[in-house]
Formats: sequence, structure tokens, C-alpha cells
Amino acid sequence: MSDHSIGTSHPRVDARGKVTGETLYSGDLTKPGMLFMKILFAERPHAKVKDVRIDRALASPGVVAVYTAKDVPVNEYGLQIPDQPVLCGPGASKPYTDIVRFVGDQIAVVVAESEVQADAALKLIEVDYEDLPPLLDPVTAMRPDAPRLHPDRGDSNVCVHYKIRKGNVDEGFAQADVIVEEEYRTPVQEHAYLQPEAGLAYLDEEGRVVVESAGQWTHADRKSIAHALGLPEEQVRVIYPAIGGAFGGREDLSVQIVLALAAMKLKRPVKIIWSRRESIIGHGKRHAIILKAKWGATKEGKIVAAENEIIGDGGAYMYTTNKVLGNSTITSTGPYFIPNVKTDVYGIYTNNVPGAAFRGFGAPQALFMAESQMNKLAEKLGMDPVEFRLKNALKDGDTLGVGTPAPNPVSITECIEAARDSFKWKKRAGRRKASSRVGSRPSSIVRGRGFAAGFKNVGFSFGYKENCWAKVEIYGNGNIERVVLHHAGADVGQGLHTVISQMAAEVLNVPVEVVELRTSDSATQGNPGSASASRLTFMAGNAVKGAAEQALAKWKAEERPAVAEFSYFAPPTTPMDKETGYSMPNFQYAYVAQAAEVEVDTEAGHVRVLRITSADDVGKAINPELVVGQIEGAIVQAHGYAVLEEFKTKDGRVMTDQLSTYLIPTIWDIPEKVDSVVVEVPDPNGPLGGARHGRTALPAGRRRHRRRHP
Amino acid sequence: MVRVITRRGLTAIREGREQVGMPKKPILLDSGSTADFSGRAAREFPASPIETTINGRKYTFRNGYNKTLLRLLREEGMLTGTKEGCAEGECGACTVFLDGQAVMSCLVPAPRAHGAEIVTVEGLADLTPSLSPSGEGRLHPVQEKFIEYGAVQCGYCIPGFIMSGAKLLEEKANPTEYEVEQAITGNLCRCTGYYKIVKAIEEAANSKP
Repeated sequence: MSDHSIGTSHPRVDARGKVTGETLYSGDLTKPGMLFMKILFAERPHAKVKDVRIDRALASPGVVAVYTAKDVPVNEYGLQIPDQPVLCGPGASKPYTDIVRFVGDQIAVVVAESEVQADAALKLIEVDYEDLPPLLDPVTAMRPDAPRLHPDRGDSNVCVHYKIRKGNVDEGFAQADVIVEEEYRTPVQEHAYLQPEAGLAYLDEEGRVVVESAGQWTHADRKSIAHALGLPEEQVRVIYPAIGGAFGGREDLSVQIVLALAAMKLKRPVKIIWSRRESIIGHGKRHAIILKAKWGATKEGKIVAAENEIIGDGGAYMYTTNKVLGNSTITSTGPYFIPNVKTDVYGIYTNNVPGAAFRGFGAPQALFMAESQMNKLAEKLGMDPVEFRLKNALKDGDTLGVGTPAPNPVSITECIEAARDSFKWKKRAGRRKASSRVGSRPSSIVRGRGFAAGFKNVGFSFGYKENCWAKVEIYGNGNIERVVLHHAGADVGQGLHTVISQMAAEVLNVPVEVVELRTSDSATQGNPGSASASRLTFMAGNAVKGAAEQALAKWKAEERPAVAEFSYFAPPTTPMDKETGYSMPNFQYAYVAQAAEVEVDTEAGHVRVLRITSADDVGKAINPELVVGQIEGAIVQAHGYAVLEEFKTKDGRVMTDQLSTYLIPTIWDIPEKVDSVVVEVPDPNGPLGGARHGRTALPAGRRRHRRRHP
Repeated sequence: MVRVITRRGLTAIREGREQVGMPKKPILLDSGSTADFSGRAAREFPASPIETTINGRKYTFRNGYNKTLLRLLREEGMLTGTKEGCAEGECGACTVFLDGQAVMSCLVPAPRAHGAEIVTVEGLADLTPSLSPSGEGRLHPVQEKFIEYGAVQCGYCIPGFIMSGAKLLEEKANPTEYEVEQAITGNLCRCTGYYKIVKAIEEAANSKP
């Protein structure tokens, strides 16, 4: 074993460049002869575009081109289904792409010699709109008589419907001694990664259209760009420079297609950088979800039935709504064994900003409901909420709502116990008083404790043939002198590049410094899958391990250089049955439990989190410092979601379109103390000692004291 | 809520408590700036170029007088280490030193650079090869500790934090935790949750010779 191998907190391989300012992000790139692009957004939630007149803009100084819907070869795109126009306007190659469905829909792009000139010309584009009444409430939009936002996609605005039917909930409720029936609403959340969208597109020496931008899955970006441009995928090349945060918000495309279009037509490099406002109106958000739950338990503390109805606001386009709500479906019963379950989950098209992937991917909303139900049931039963959770926690072999057991190991009990013990949770006997006064503080301040548990998938779900590619080259004569590791997985800040370097070093028994990385280029590397679904440590880890082992075998057989490519395929999964949800949806889950102590000013509404303990089972921590960094960062994002951030819209328009109005936590808004407990229950399929995931799911349940500011 | 806060504010003033909890000597991120700005404002741009010193090197800019200092540095000076995250002084990713003071360069008009001494994140380390055995020069202690203590994730906000941290240590060699927090109240990070950033700055203070 090398000194620099897994299980040690090797410093990030990209940290030096990032602290000296040398690291280049997509907005930092330049090319000789580079043009600049600006995008005209619709700025209205629902309208038909009657006419787009570009003559004045074209005549404006410095303008090289103006493109509208007519100029896009195949005017549609989308990660899951191509339901979004690249540009909205009449005369396009696809039907219904003259309809604007949210404020961030794009109408036209201007390409000019300078950004200032492009911006000036943008104001000269004249658009005739016929405004249509916006559908902003998902409950109204799902009615059969509501106007259809996508007339070519089904006979209603319901774009997703999943069902779970397990056991018989009526019989289950008949056994219940207590029943809790509640409705919850979780709000939209903005990713607010610090780097707004940006990119540079150009033609390379082989005539391919290259797009350098920040994304989460090189090969999926390439596929969508190629589709819209009517090109074979090989003619499009996606490269990721450094990525300034993602959190799911870069899974869907923003600037990539229009950049590629302009570079292809003009045969000159074209660059764009979005302002913060453009970023906030232009990319998807965490789904707002309405969750109705009726859960019953016996007086011994066993949950006997759960009935849930979950309505997610998908916004204007699908993005990953089908997958996000699939994950909500799976997690809506919490990490507990419930014998009788009836769940209906709906995704609805509206004229809001699209619901998209965001850390936790539908699990946080469903778990907020499940954990709130757990707390209310425990209270009704007069039972300690931790004890109540332990009584119902999933064990190996217990079936989920989908009728099949969660794959081993099921470590939720270990996480709950670790959080309980580290937090020094005191058992709550009998009924809890509503609040307790705190010493000499003003009488309006009360303190309380909360506990939550959760789980979410690792890896793609529902029958996707989950795979990941890597290549390793070993150079030297007698000894290994140099290792080149090729991998296209996106390092969005989570530290993938460091972790895969450590893994290659471990297998080859060399220091991490010997490993040179070649990253994120769709032209030279195989499909990595996305930096999402908490999957890359597991998937890339297995791919890198496989490639390194095969290269090492060749090295030992005296091949010089020794080169091996390897694709790892995860254990298979199956899609949900349409009527019952029966499936083996995931090959693995990650488990978490958290406890928090909170102070609430009941007069002013201010919430202070005094301390929070998070126990996360990661399988095997490849780099413990990176894992703790993920837990801390996730907790602060969740804290912002729970008590601070508020995405406001009015008539479909975004009111909080700057960082001065959409407030994310500063140093003085964070929990005062975070205690990260890294639980390590090895996974039999995990690479190198059972690694499961590096990027923790969003802290499962929000604190019990979640409230909106008055 | 407005009623509650107004009542509390007025009560605090009546009782003379309105400054309770505020630092007596707040951190200003200013190590004694002596800038004399008088006379410069009258200069006519673009008739005369912006002449400035960045990271110890003289620059003459004939363009960019109508930009922000941030855009001048990035687009005319090609110094892209300084980042734009919001362009409205909220996120601090564009923090640079201007005549000894840490400023958000997105809020500073470019002509203010004329005659000024500017330091950006690129100028913080001494990259003279002979300074280290590996030939990579010597990083600023704040840079070193950000690497060592895992304070960097996506890294986009990091140049701003490094500048705030470095300026804090010039202003106050041994800051308290509260003072470290004051120094970075103007910097947003969405990845780390700030804990490791605070730790790294504290460790840099401890490690300074």
C-alpha cells in the first residue's frame, strides 16, 4: 500500500491552481478573433411569438450575426425528452416551438465583435408577442380542462405519474392506534453556484464544433447539442474546464447549443458569459412540491400504513422531473419499513421556471414530509422520536414501498445510532412540552431539538444501464515513472479528480503525484455518466480500478507503455411497474441521520441552529477531509433552504433575480457548530474497500423547526 | 416582524444598548491605505490612458476606461484570477487590493486604477523558483492553508476569500475567530459551508513567522 492511497486526506489535486488564480473556468477562456454573444430572453411566462424582426439589430455596429428559431436546424432539446425549443419563434423546424413557456425561454442571439456591441444590438430586436394566460399553480394546471402547455405531448399537463401500491392501506389504517394526516409545501431553491453560466465555442483542427463550458455530463451535453444542430455526435466535442459549482443546476443545458450554432455558422470562436440575473432566470430550480400524507402507527410504535399524494411543479419543461420525482417516490416512505403503502406522485407542466436536479434530487422534499410525519406520530404516541425511528428503521431484507428489499448493506440503524450518540440525544419520555424557556434570554426565545433520518439512491435508477469508462496508461522501464489517467467525469467541486487519482495510485502502488490527469473531453474519452445521483465515487472508482488493474497486468507482462481501457457496469435495476411501482429501482442507497439543536425567536421569527450532528454512511471514505467538506457544505445549503432562502415570483416573473435579493447563507447565517460523523459500512460492490459515495445527499430531513419567515 | 424589530431597536437606543454585540474595532480590510485621490478625478478619459501598477508591474490601458475595475483587470489586463459572481458587490469573488485596501473591484470604476497600486490573487504568491526546492516559488500562508485544510471546493469564490484573508492578516496578525468572520462577511461560498475556510485563515495566522 502506498502512503498516499485511499483513506487519507490527500490535498485536492486542483487546489493550487484555484488558490493562485491560475485555474481557468469557462468565462476565463479566450481565443484570437473571438466574438461575443448575448441572448434575448422572453421575460414573460407564457406567450406566442408572432414575429421577430432583426434588421435593426443586424445593422448595429459590430454585429456579425443574429439568430432566431428559424436558424436552428432541429429546434428542440432536453436531457430526458426534447420538449424545449432552442429558440422560441415562428417558422422553426419543429411544431409548437413558437410558444414561450417561462421567463427564461430564449428568443434570439446576437453575435458581435464585443460584448457591449452585442448588448446594444439586443435592444434593437423587435418581438411581437401574443401574451397567453400563465398557468402558475400546478394543482390548477393538472385539471383535465386546463389549457395544454405542450399540445404535442399527451392530453394533459401531467407529465409524470408514478404509483405505489403495496399491501392494503385500508387494512393497515384499521390496525392503527394513531393517525397523522398533514399537508406540506416545500419551496423552490436556486442553486446559486458562484460561477454563472459561460462558455466558448469554436471549430477545432478536425472541423468539429467544440464547446467549452461547465456541465455535469460531457457526453449527454454532446448528444443534445448534436441533436439540435443536426450533426453526428462525433462532429461535436464537449470539454469542461474548471467548473464553478453545479449542485444539479448544470445538468440541463443553458448556453451550449446557441454557442455551438454560432461557432458552426460563423467559423469563428464565440464566447458568452451570463450575468447573475441571466443565470437565475435562465436555469432550472429545485422543484416546489405539495405533499399530502396520512400515516398510521400502532401504540407499540410500529408504522402500519402510509398514504401519500405528491404534486411536483415541473415548470415549463421536463428537464429531469421524471427522474427527480421517481426519487421522491422511492424516498417518500423514509428509510422505514411500512407494510402497506399507497402513493401517487405527479409532475405537472406549468409556466414557472423548470424544476430541475438539485442536490438530493427529489429526496429532500419527500423526506421532509416523511420525517415530519415521523415526528408527529412519535409525539402522538408519547414516544421518543429517535426510539420511534429505530423501531421502524429498514433492516436487511425489509421491503421498500416498491415491494423489493433495499440492497445490502442497509445501514440506517447505524446512522441513527451514530447521530444519537454523538449528539448525546436525551430520550424524551412522555409528551413533549411545546417549548422550553432558555435561562436569562428574552422570553421570546425558545430552544428545541430535532432529529431526522434519510436515504437516497447512489447511481442511476429504474433500469438505466449504469456504466462508466476510464483509461489508464503506465509509462516507465523498470519502475512505474508516470501514470496517465483519462476520465471525463465532471469535477464540479466535489473533488472527483482527487479521489480518482488516489484510487489509481492505490491500485498501482505509486504516490498520487505520479498520476497525471486528462479530464472531461468527449472527443478523447468514453462516457463517464453524469456528476449526479451521488454516483461518481462509486462508478468512476470502479472504472478507474478496473482500468488500473488491467493496465497493471499488462505492465507486469512487460508491455511498455501499458494501456488499458475499462467500462464498469453497475448491478442492474428495473423500472417501476406502472400500476404498483413494483421494481428493483436502485442497486444501492446512502443513509444519513441528523440531530439539531435550534433556537427560535418566536417574536421575530429568527432561527439559529446552535449545533447539528450529521452521521453519513459513505461506505469507505476515500478522502475523509473531502467527505467532511461535502457534509458541511450540504448542511449549510440545506440550512439556507430551510430557514433563509426564498425564491419569489410574481405572475411568473422572478423577483429574486440577484444575489442581493436571493439571499444565500453568509458566514454569519450558518449553524454554529457542525459535527460530521463519517459512518463506514463497507459496500460489497464498492471500489477499494467499499466506497459508496463522496457527495452526500442533501441532509435528509430538515430540522423540525423549519418555518418560513413571516 | 417590522413592529418587533422597530420596538427592539428603539428600546435598545433608549437603554443605550444599541451597540452591544458590535465589535469595538471592526475589521476594515485596510492595512493603512494612504491613497490621495484628489486631482485624479479631474483627469479626462479616454484622452489620457489609465496608468497603473498591478502586482508590481506597470500597465498602461488605453481602453476600458468605461468598465469596472474588475472588467479592466480581466479583459484588458488578462488577469482572470479575479472572478465576477454577481457584479453588485454581494459575493466578494472580485476582491482585490487597491492602494492597500481590500475592495470589491466590480464596484470600482476602472479610472480609479490610475496611479494606484493594485494587487490581485495572481500577485499574492512569490513564484520566484528559487524560493522552494520544487521550483514552484512560495505561496502566501493563506493560500497554503486553504490547500492544506480542504477549504477549496469548486474554487470560484476562493480568490476573493484568499484576498480577504490575506488582508486581514496584514491588518491584524493574530485575529480572533470573530475577527476572521468579520473579514469574510463580504464573501459568499456555496460549496464549503465556510467552516474549513475559517479554519484555514486561523491556521495561516498561526503559521506566520
